[in-house]
Amino acid sequence: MRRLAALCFPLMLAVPFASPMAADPLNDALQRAVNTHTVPAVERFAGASHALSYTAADNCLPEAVKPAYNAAFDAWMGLQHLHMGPVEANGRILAIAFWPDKKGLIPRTLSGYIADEDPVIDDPEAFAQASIAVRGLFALEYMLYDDQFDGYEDGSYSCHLVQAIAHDLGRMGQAIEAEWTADDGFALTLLLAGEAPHPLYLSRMESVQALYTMLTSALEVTRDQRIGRSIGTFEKPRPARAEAYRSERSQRNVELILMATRDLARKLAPGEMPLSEAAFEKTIALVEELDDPAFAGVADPMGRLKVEIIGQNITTILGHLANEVGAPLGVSAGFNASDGD
Amino acid sequence: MTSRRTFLKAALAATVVPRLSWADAGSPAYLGAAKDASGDYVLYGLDAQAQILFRAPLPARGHAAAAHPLKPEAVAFARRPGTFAVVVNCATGRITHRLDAPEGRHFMGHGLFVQNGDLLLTPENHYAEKRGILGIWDRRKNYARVGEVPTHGIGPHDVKQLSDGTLVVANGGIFTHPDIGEGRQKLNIDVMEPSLVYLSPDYALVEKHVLAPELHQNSIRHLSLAPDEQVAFAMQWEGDESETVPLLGLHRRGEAVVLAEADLGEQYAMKGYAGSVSHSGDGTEVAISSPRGGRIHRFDAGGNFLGAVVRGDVCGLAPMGDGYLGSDGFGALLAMKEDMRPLNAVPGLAWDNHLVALPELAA
Repeated sequence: MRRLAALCFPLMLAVPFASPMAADPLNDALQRAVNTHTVPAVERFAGASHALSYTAADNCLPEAVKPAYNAAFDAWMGLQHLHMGPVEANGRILAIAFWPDKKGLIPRTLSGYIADEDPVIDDPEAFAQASIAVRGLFALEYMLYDDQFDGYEDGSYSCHLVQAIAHDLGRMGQAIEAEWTADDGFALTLLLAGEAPHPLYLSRMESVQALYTMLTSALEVTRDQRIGRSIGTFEKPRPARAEAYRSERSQRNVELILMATRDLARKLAPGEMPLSEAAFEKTIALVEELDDPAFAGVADPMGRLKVEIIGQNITTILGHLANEVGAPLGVSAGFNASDGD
Repeated sequence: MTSRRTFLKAALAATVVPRLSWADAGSPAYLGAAKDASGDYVLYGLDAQAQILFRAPLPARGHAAAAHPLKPEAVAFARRPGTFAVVVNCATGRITHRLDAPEGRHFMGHGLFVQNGDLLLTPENHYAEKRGILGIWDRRKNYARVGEVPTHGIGPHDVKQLSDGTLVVANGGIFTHPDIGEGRQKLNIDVMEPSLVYLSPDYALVEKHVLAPELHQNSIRHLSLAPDEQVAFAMQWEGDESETVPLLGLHRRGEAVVLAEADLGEQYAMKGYAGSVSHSGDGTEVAISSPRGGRIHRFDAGGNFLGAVVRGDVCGLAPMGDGYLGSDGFGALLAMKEDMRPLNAVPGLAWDNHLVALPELAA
């Protein structure tokens, strides 16, 4: 065995010169992640948000809009972890999903618009500059699901407001897709790094690093915010802080993020990732078994414990990802970002 | 007891070092601490184009450095809550002195030379008495500790000096104890009260500004002085992370503090954390960095938001040209203004939180 290794060594050195097609794990990971994870995610949200836009234009009433709303939200959960390029440009990420809204800006601002019948909703370009508190999926959630807002009639101001929010979401979805997949778009910024038409990453290593950071921070935010905010403390659980509890999507959103991050991890991983796979499978199963769509169960100690355990399992996933994806790629969380002063 | 060897060393230091100037270290424009590819901590000197002029090994992870105004000497501080700092001769790369914080006190990672470099001031927490102080060290006496004065707040982090000798101190407001949570656990978040304090050249309190009560958890950490002596301070939010608060303050003596923030979407993206602050090279604008948010935010001198430049893990900022030099944890040094241009990239190198521009002039 030792002799064989000694023999192989000079051959391995020669490979890069002899074969330009030699395996490049980093570049392969980058190609897979960009082409088979990010581009489909962007296309799916563009399609679903566009469908939401024309569904609402056709019939603005809550029961008619809800299926398209949920499909668009599902698609967003497959994209929202990619806080980069066109998704985060111009404050889009918050304009699409303004959460958490700790100060209750959304209902207050919506009420103001409705009371004043603010004409900004008639002008899509002006509405695109309106407060993020009246735009995006969470403003629409209030309009479709909250008692204070969902009793509107066809042709009313609220009806037109719903159509304006849906149209604005469709517009943003299409803009993200266009900017991501254009000939000089963000996919190429990631793939070509320093040689890209619009360089943002100096090397392919940096592109991979950025994608890996998206993977880990999505899981951390899910644990610390989506789960952490709702479970609160043992003495004081906070079900009304759960994400999208009005539309009963809290549980589903966590599940969809786990599936999206698992897909990204698989695309980035240079080899097998058995421990990560097992941890994802276990955690997704725990979420599915919850049967607590709005995380209302956290008010009860047993229900709270079940949700808390999901957070602990996400920590386990993160540990395995560091070993099975981050380390073999040579990437880790940022030096300054993870330990500031 | 002074051994013969240390006596000889001191004698050598006394005779050789004073002749050196920054030119002997290559006339660096910037100093920055970093972790290199082999895991060692190093202080680097950079020229005006961000190319490396020298490297001097450090015994532990650094935070910021204080540069002597005339001599090629830099004091590198261990990270908060470090209890030691080292004086590096940047012409030889050697460590010439070690400063140990007195019993019951720890450094905060920053320091400043004053009085033509004869004295070094070090923000410290006197954790035994729960108050902030500036330690005073005399370079002429081999960096002997010669005194300390109160900063009139807890957790002084950064200190600068105006041209008339007035000192400005950022009291972060945070109390830590070396024995609790590796010394970095924040122990008074509920009652913290950061402040911006001005001290006369003889260290008397002349002005103190605290933030509005709802911002009392916004730790005032880092300072930048414009050529016209506008003070910019960068903050780190210790409150609910779903709230957005201003992370930059601008101030002139005798006037009210101006708090500056971007539009809501961009402000959220900073994640409540500004790591460094710097005026632009021409002094017309100021920027703060957020390594967590992966961006810098630029503002004009009136506090109006000018734009963001996206760069993962960016933290160090210093004046360069009519914009900034930025550094990040991936080894890159970038010229930044409306966009960014890489000047230097050292694979495997991770630049630490701060860049120090020379000369950091002290009166």
